[in-house]
Order: sequence, then C-alpha cells, then structure tokens
Amino acid sequence: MRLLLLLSSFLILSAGCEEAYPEVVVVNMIREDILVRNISFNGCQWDTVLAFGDSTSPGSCLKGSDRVHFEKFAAAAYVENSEEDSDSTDTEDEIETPLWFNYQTVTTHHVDYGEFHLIVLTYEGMEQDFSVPGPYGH
Amino acid sequence: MFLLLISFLLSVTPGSPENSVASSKKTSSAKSSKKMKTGVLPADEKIVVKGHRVFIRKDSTRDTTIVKGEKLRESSSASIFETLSHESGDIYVTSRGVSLHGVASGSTGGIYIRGLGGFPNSQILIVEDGVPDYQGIFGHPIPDAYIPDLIDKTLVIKGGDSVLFGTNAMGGVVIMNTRWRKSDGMDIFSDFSTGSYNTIKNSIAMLSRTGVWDASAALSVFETDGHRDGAQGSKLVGMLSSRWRLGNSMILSARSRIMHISGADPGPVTHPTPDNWYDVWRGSVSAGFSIKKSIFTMNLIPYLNLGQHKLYDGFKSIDVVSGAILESRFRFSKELCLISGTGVEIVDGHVENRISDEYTSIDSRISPALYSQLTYKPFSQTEAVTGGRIILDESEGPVFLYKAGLSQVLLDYFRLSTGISRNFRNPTLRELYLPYPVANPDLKPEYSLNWNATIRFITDIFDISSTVYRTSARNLIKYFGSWPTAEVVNIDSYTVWGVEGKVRIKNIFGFSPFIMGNFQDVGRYTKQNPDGKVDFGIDFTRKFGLNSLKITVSAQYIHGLYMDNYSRNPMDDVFYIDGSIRYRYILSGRKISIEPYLILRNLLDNQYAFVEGYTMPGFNILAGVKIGI
Repeated sequence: MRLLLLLSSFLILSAGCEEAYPEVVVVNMIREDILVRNISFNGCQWDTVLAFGDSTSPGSCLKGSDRVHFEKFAAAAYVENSEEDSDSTDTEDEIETPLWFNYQTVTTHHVDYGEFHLIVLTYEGMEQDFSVPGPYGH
Repeated sequence: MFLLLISFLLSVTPGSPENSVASSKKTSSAKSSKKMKTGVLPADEKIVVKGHRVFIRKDSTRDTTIVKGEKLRESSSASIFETLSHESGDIYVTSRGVSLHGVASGSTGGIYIRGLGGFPNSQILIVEDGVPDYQGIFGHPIPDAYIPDLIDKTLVIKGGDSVLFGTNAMGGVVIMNTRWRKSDGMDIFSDFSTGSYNTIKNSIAMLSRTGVWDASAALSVFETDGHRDGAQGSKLVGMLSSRWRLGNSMILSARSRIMHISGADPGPVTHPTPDNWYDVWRGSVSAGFSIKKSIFTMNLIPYLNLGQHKLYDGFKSIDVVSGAILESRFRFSKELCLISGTGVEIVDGHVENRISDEYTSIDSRISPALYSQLTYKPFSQTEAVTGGRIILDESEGPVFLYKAGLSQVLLDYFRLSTGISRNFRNPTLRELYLPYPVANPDLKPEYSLNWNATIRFITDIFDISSTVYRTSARNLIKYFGSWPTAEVVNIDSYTVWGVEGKVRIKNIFGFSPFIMGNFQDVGRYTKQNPDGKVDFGIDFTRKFGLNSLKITVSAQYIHGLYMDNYSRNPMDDVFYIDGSIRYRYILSGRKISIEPYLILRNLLDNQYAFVEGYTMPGFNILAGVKIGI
C-alpha cells in the first residue's frame, strides 16, 4: 500500500511538471488584411497561419517572460504592389513572391505555472523583430 | 521500445549486481583508506589487474581531477560531462535540457577547462582506453556517447598534455578507462528510470571474468519528449569489450561501440526551431596488445572511429578517424622510468548536401608523431617529469611540443606540484574547408603553453587543494562576424590567469560537505568563458548493516557568463540545486541488490540558461531502480 502511495505520488509529481506549464493562446487582431504565421512564445511554436480574428490552439510554454514573435504578411500591400508592377510592364504577369516580415509584440508578457494567457496581437502593439538568429549552423 | 521492454523485464527479475562487487569493493576501499593514512599519494590513481599494472595516470606532476565510476553512475547530473563539471571548479560544461547534448547548431556539452575548449569543442581531448575519441570533420567529441556503467574511472588532466596525447589536448584531457570485473564471476546490472517529460532511461550492463577471459558489455537506451518543443530526442548506445590475459605478461583486448542519437536543435525560446533535426550513427573499434617483460612494457593500440551525421538542411557527412599508437615503458629502477612512443593518425571525411546535391572537397590529414617522457625520482617523496613530442604537421612541418613538472610530498600530508606544457591542436577539416558559416584553408595550428602550481593537503578527513594557473595560447582559431560576412581566422595571443580551489571534508558522522571554486581573468575572449564558478554541496551516507542510504545535495553557481567576446551580451548568473536520494538494499544471503532512487533537479525551480535562449528545465524529477545480480 505504501509502495502504491509512493508510486502514485511520484507519477503525480512527475506529470505535474508538464501539466502545470502555462497555457498561451495568441489571437490575430492586427488588421483584416494581415496574416501571421510561425508564431512563437517562450519555447513554444504554432505551425499555423492566422487570418484576422483567428487564434492558435492553447500551447504549453515555459514559464517566464518573452514577447510573441511572428511573421507578418500584409495581403493588401502585396496586391497593391503586384498591380503596380503589372501596370508598369506590358509583358505577361509575373507572380511576385509574398514577403513575410519578422515582427514581435512591443510588450513583454510574463507567464507562470498554472496560468492561462490570451495574447492579442494588435497593429499598435507590434514592432519589427531584429533578434532572429542567423541561418548558419553545424 | 522492444529493447526498453526487454531491459525492463530484466530489471525486475530478482538478482543483484553492484554488490557482488560490494564485498570486493569493500575490501579494496578498506585497503585504500589504510593506504591513505600513510601519505598523500592517492591510491586510487591507478588501477590494478592481476600481475599487470595498467596506469591511468602516467604523469603525477600534472594537475588532475579523478572521478570514480560509481560517482558517474550515481550522479544527479544528466550526462557524464556535466558530472565532471560538478567535480572541479575549473571545468565548465554547457547544457540545454534534461539529457541529450546533440550535435551541430544548438548543441551543448562543450567542456571548458581553464579558458580553453568549448567552442570549438576540440581543445579538450577525450581518450578512451588510450584511444582518442572525436568526430573527424568537426573535431569534437560526442558527449552523448558514453555509458557510465562501463567506466571504471575518469581522469581529467587540467592544462592539457599534448606530449602524451597529441592534437586537441590543448586545455585538458579526459581519460576514461573500461571497467572490468576484478575476480572470477559475473555481474549483471540493470538500471531503469523514468520521470518528467516522459523521460525513460534504461541500461543493462554485464561484467564477466572467467579464467583468462574478461568481458564488459552494456546497452543504454534513452528517450525523452523534452521540456519544450524540439527538445525531444533519443539515443541508443551499445558497447562490448573483451580481454584475454595470457599469464602475467600479456593482454589482448578489443573494444567496440555503436551508437545512434537523434533529436533536434530546439532553438532559442524566442524563435524555436523544432524541425531542425539531426540523426547520427557512429561506430568505433579498437584493439590492444600489451606485453610486459621485466622492466619493459609495450602497448600497441590500433583504432578506427567512423560516423555518419545527417541534418535537416540536407547536410550529410561521413567521417573517419583511424590510427595506431605504439608505446613502450622502461622502468629501469624505482627512480627512473622512460615512456617512448610513436603514433600516426589519419582523419578523412566526405560531405554533401543531399538537397542541393553539392559536394565539398576535403583533403585528408595524416599526422605521424614521436614522443617520449622521462620520470625521475631522486628521493622517495620527489618526482620530476619531462617529455617531448615531435609531430610532422602537413602545413607547419615538424612541430615540437614539450613539458616539465615537479612534485614534492612534505610531512606526509602536503603535496606541492608544478608543471608546464606546450600543447597543440590542428585545425579541423570543418575550419579548413567547410563553409559553416565560413572556412579558411590557410589556418595555422593552435598552440598553448599552460602552467600551474598546486598545493594539496590530504588526511583521512580533509582534502584541500589550491591551484594557480596561467593558460596562454597563440594562433587560436576564432569565428568573427555573422553569416554571410563571417570569417574564421587565427588570433594572435590569449592569456588567462586563474585560481582554483577545493575543500572536501570526508565522512563526519556520515556527512561529507564540499566546496570548490574557480576564478579567472579571460581578457577579451569572454564568449562562454565564465569569470567564476562555484560548486558546493553535501553528501550523506548512512549504513544499516549491509544496506545503505545515500543523500546528495549539490549546487552550481556561475558568474560572468557572456554570449560574445569583449564582454558583450552578458547573461544572468546561473544557479541551481540538484538532489538525489538512494537506498541500497541487499537481500540477505543472496547476491542481489535493489537500489531505488529519486533524482530531483533544479530544486528551486530557478530559470537559468547556459546558452542564451536555451532555457533549462524547471524543477524535474527522475525515479528509478537499479538491480544487480
């Protein structure tokens, strides 16, 4: 009986480490024409593209502080640029490669064990992210 | 999973391991403690096999740290290298998670000793049973490759010793020797543990001795989901060693290891890269032929180490390190001993990108060498050592390395020693030819000239030592800038002054507290080269008849850590406390031991990181049982 109690205590303690991780959801409320992808926050990453109003699934992140990092694509600007380019040339239309720029939230968010955070991305609350690591390695 | 299941089933089968050795261990420890009373020359600095001495330490004037295999097996640290960093203030090891250090970008496990090592992680040499162990193209060891179950003890030579060990022994040498059974019989150990992040760790090992045959074998399996996305990984390491003793004068041995590790670089927490996976297969074989006739001992060790590394970006490499060492020892008298040897090493590889179908040309490297070391003991308490090595380097021509040392025992309890050595490291094939992020085929070899002076005081209760050291190096190979404008060049000179100390009090009512620290001035090259490090803790052991309880609490504090040179990008101090509790229960009348244990890491749940953005796990636990037959 004591062994069972000990074992169950251990399992609860062990599982607790992960279950108690803070849960974070990110919502794209930037602008209707803006998509975001590669969203990350303090150790967790969402492989999804968020349209305006969309949210990520709850992610279990590490406790601590971080900004939300993401890539932003402005669809309206892309269409505008493409139309300007096609007006200026009479040749057949070329599809311009969409550019996704690195952005992050201005505010640093702190999350702790057992907490649930809903982080809303807004136009005023974001800035360019120059902290992206370089592409080399090995 | 099948292997896990088999090992688990074996682990729950009644039997007993480590303690059939327990009786012999008890005898040997009693002997050693008796020997310790007579003087300061530690009895555990050599291992003894029947009629034939195999020396793990060939130069007693060098400043060393010895870590017994039992300590490695019982440590609360996640890897052997991390355990070493807890055993001496001047050994610093990076980490990023609950166990796997990995390879390539984002990997950790780099060992820094007195300002050298780490990145590139090729200035500290790992030597297993006399065989240098490193990856051919990148020049670094694989920190995940070693199985504590089969390590008899580990000796860290601080300050390096390229005279005896050749290239890469710039800042230090970590020597591991295979564990053998010391009397006829067989031991089987099974160690199964599980804990946070779905971590499963399992190993099964066998030590056997039958007549003139010895065998040691182990299989180690590890799997974890990791504490965050991308920190998952697995490893499988199998090792087999056998030895044939022909009388008291000859030993033939063979050792082989195969390993597979897979995982990913999780990337910094701000920008995770969980898809940056790696997959590594490595294998090595070596043989040993040892003969002893009167004053003469000769060892011949041929070896081959090869591996295949694949990365997420299409990178694939196959590397080969092969060579042979022939070493002879003449013990002319109690006062005079001469070691002479020759060795040749060939490093080659093949690199391609499987996605772009690009191939990078690499020239193989051959390094023949001759070396010699003379030990002279003019008085029973005095020892002088000198030695030299000539390496025929392809770019530099003949390179001369040397060393000298002196040790003196005073009043039976004090030992003074000092030594200087000139060490060497060849540029790796990566630094010469591979654009990760940049290469430079004109790089020159690195040299270091390391000096230290040590005073040590040992009694049955106290082990106190202090060392002043100076590490100086020239032609160090450093990367500057960032992709695509990075460069790798030799830098002119580099000097580190430091002081290291240790106080360990042994077994006062079962308590053994310890503290060790290191403080150094590394000048401008501050990248992952901390100013100060302190390790402290306490061991408690209590025996209940044949059974025993062991509780360990240890802490590490690191100050002055930077992510870049010139004191740029400072990081927060690292501080964490680990603990472990073990109870070894011997089934009376049967040679069976059962040892449940609990390992608690980061007890204070501190947030810390050795590498910027690679936050270490919070409080986590591992519980297991070790069974010996």
